[in-house]
Amino acid sequence: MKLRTKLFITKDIYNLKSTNDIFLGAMKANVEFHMKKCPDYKTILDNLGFDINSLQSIDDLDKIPPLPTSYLKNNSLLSKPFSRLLIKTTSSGTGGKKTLSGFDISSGFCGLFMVRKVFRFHQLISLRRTNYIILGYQPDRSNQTAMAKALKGFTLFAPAKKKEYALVFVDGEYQINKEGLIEAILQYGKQRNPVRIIGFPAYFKMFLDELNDRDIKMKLPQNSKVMVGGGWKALFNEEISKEELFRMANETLGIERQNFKDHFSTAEHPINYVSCINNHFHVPVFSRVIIRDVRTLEPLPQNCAGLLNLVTPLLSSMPYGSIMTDDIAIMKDGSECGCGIRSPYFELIGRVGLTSIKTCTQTASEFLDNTK
Amino acid sequence: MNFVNGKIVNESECDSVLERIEEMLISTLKKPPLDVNQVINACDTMVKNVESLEVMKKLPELGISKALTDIYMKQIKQMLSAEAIRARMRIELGENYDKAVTLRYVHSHATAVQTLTPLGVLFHITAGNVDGLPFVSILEGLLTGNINIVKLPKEEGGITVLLLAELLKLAPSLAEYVYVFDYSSKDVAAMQKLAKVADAIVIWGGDEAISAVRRMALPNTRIIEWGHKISFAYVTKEGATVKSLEKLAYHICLTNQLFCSSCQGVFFDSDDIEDIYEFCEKFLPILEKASQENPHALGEMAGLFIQAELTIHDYQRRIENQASATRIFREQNVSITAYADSQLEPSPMYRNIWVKPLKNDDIIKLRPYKGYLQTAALICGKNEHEELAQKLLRAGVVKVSDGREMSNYACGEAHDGVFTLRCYTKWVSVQDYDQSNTE
Repeated sequence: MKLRTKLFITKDIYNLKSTNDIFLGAMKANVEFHMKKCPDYKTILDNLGFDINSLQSIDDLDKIPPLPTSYLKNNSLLSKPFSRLLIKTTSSGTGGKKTLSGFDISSGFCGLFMVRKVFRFHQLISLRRTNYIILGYQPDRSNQTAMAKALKGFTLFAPAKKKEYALVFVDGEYQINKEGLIEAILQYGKQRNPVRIIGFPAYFKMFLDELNDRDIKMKLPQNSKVMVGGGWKALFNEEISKEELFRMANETLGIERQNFKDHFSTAEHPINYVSCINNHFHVPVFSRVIIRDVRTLEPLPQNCAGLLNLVTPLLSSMPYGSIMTDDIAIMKDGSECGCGIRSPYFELIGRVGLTSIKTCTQTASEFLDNTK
Repeated sequence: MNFVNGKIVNESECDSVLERIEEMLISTLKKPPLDVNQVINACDTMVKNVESLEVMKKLPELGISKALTDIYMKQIKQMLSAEAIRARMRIELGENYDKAVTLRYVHSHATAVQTLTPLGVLFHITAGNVDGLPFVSILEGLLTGNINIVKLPKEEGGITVLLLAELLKLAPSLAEYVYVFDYSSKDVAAMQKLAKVADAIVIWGGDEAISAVRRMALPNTRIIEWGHKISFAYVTKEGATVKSLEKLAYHICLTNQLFCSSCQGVFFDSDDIEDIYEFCEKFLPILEKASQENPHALGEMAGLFIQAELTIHDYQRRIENQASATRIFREQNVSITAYADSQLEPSPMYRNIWVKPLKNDDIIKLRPYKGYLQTAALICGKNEHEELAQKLLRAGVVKVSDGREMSNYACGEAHDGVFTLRCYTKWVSVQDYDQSNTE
């Protein structure tokens, strides 16, 4: 696992070429480790005829059979006892099936190196005391979702002066805290500390709508940031585009382009993808992304839409090195973006099927419908 | 879109209607009953010029294909002419539905008069899977003289109100008999208020929606359920001719498998998986050809998403090492998945069907799906037809047709095994005044 550590302390986080050999080696070690520690995983790979020696170059990563997230929702695979994990998470808090996921100590450290690097690159680390609007769940013992934990984690990168949550835990259930949020943003606007607004885009849209309804317009203190993540609705019921949401944030709160960030990560593949100034998720050295044909599962070239397969040697706690999500995405060449980052980026187009599998972001939009 | 008293109303006006709805209903109920002939005549006039109606020009905007528009047009013309409506009423309500019946009490000379009357107020909670369904549901309510409150499905597109506006132009006095709201079904307060004022709730929807209504309704409110159904085709070797399969393929592409009466898959009369594969190979090009001739409005991306779902399921089966006989046959726009089991299940829809083995002696094994079974397209040889139709009916199917007519309505045909108009009416009796009281 030494190669993994080497990978996760790489300095130039978007220079994929320089890390290809390390990545391949780390991945090979990762798969071998899990095949040894997790008999169920070994059975799966054996059944699918996988041969570890077939991994000869970085182009062979697609030979590692990916585990579909829909499969993991019903079957948790562990390489270490769940009770011994350092950070435990479940995907999907309030509805649908849960995926157990988590970090052991060594994965946790690598994860921290990564988060620090990614956040520093995107200028999200600050020592200034910051006021937070958190458009998600107030932490509670009963809520172990990755999303709740991620939201809490985000507040560590700039020390919090005050935090206000959109969903507060009252009398055993979560309630929408509309008045509290409005009061908080008005208060924050009068102070000099920067503000950070983080959470689901659907909630952010609702928050902006509420401000507009009340004719509230303000310029938040310099360096205030918006960071949204998860829950961009699929093609067929897309309510608003990222660009439109940014325009609204700019108009109502004076958020500048470089301070509007989108974030992508999953419980099964906890790599941080943070959008560049052109709003694209470039692939960092910590992972590789394969797009697979929706019929044959063969890897596709850039600019073709297919199933999103995410690969990383991060986790030693569970055999989630290669994960196939329910997302349909397209890979594009880094040079097409123009932001200066050279690594390729992916765009999410939608989710499989017409009745897709429930995830926590979907439940959040249901929650929203319920309380409108 | 909300529509009250013949006018489109905005949300705040809607809330004030909700406040006063009880009074409004009472003022209508106080009046003599609705003259149903007005409804019939208005329908008749409307369908005579159906091609020139504004609303018909809007259908393409709602993603309804040209082929389907033509069929709708034809169906509306056939279903809503005065002649067809009267014929339907005679079949469903009885030859003398519009005449009073004299009754005699057994132990006296007393007599009574029995007449067919409306239930009163119907609250229709409609579904979005069939275009124009809310309008049809309202019309059935009007034809039986009821006041109709309608909750539109999400993303309805406005077709119901457009059609109603046309109808009310021809019969303005019907205005107070129609209330259309687009409240969300999650607006519990509004739903409960509307349910409370109704004599019956007409619910179109899946198990969840029906359970929710059952919980919400007061014990003195009748519930009329049009639940989700599953339809399929039953095919024998002898019946599987290109011609008969073309009819089925056409139906699958036309309805995109969205209706309760749409074919979700095929049970093939065999227990040999090789026969199933062989049938799939035969049907695949026929289905693809029908799909190319009737392109669906969803576009290429939707196809991609459905294909991805099929692939993931298949891959998952491989991961779980279910050394299964499942095999997917694909073409550009369609797919057929062969399974070895005989479970009845919904398909991924949009021209993606399943094929499963089911020997004709095992048809009765579909009984556990009772209550969900609706239409079976029976594709077999002439000599097998009678016997197989009976077997399907005994399993619980309520309609047997060929491939093409699965979703088509024959005048007077029962819906899910019952006559709709009968559900929306009641027989009431009044004893004749006993002259001896005054003697």
